[in-house]
Amino acid sequence: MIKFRKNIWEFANPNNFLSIVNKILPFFLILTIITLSLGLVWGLFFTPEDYRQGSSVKIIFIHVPTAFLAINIYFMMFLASIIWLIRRHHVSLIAAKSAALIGLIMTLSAVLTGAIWGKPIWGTYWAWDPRLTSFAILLMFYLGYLSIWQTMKFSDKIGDLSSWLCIVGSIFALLSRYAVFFWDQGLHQGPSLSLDKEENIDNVFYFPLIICIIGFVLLFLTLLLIRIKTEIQKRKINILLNARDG
Amino acid sequence: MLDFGKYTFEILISYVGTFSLVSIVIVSTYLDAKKVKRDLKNLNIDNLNDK
Repeated sequence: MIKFRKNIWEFANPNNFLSIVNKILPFFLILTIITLSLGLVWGLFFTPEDYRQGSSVKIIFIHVPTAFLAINIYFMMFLASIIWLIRRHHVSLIAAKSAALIGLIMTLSAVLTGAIWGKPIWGTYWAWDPRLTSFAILLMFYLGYLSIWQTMKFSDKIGDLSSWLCIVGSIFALLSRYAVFFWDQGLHQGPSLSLDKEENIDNVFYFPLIICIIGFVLLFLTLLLIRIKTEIQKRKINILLNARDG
Repeated sequence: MLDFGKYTFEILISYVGTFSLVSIVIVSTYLDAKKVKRDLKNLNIDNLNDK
C-alpha cells in the first residue's frame, strides 16, 4: 500500500507523466476506434425497435454515454481540483482544465439528444424536471469554469479560483446523477442501467450500450491525455521563452 | 440503409449533431497539439543556434 501511494504521486512529475502517456496513447487510440465503431454500428443497425419507443430507442446509444460522461467528467475535475488545492500538483490542475471542454461538449450532446428524444416520447423538447434542470445548471458551471481559463492567464491563483468553482458545481453534478431518486415528480425516467434485473433494460440493448459507454470513455481518456500533454508542452515553451528573454 | 422508420429524422439528427460536436473537440485538440509541437521544435532549434 505504501509502495502504491508512493508510486501514484510519481504521475505528478510532468516528465514521468509524459513518458507514460507517450507509451499508452496509441493503444487508447486503437481501442477507442474499435469499441466506438462496434458499439454504434451494433446499436444503430442491429437492434430491434422498442415496443413503446419505436426506433427512437436508438438515440440511447448516444444519449446515455454522453450523459454518463457529462456527470463523471465533472467528478474527475472535482477530484483533480481537490488534489490541486491540497497537494499543489500542477498536473492535476492541468488535467481538470483539459477535461472541461470535453465535458462541456458531452453535456451539450446529452441535452441535445435528450431534447430530440423527448419531443416524440414526452411531447416536449424541454421540461423543468429536476434532472434536466440540474443538467442545465451543470452546463452553466462548465461554461463558467472554461471562461475563467479563457479570460485569464495560467497562474496558481486562477487555478485556486477555478478549483473552488468546480467544487461548488459538483453539487449539481451529484444532483444530475441522483435527481431521479430524490424527486419523483420529474418526467425523466430512472437509470437505463441497473444492477436490478427487473429495472435494467433488455439484453438486446444492454450489450451494445455498454460497448458504446466504454467507447465514449476511451474517447474521453484519449482526448484528455493528448490535451494534458499539449498543455504541459505549452508551459514548457513559456518557461523556455522566459529563460531565453531573461 | 438509413431508414429507421417513423423516427429516422430524430435518430439521424442526434447522431450527426453529436458527431459534429465531438469533431470540434477532436479537431481543436489535434490542431493545438500540432501547433505546440511545431513551436517547441522551433524553440529548441533557436536555442541550439543561440549557443
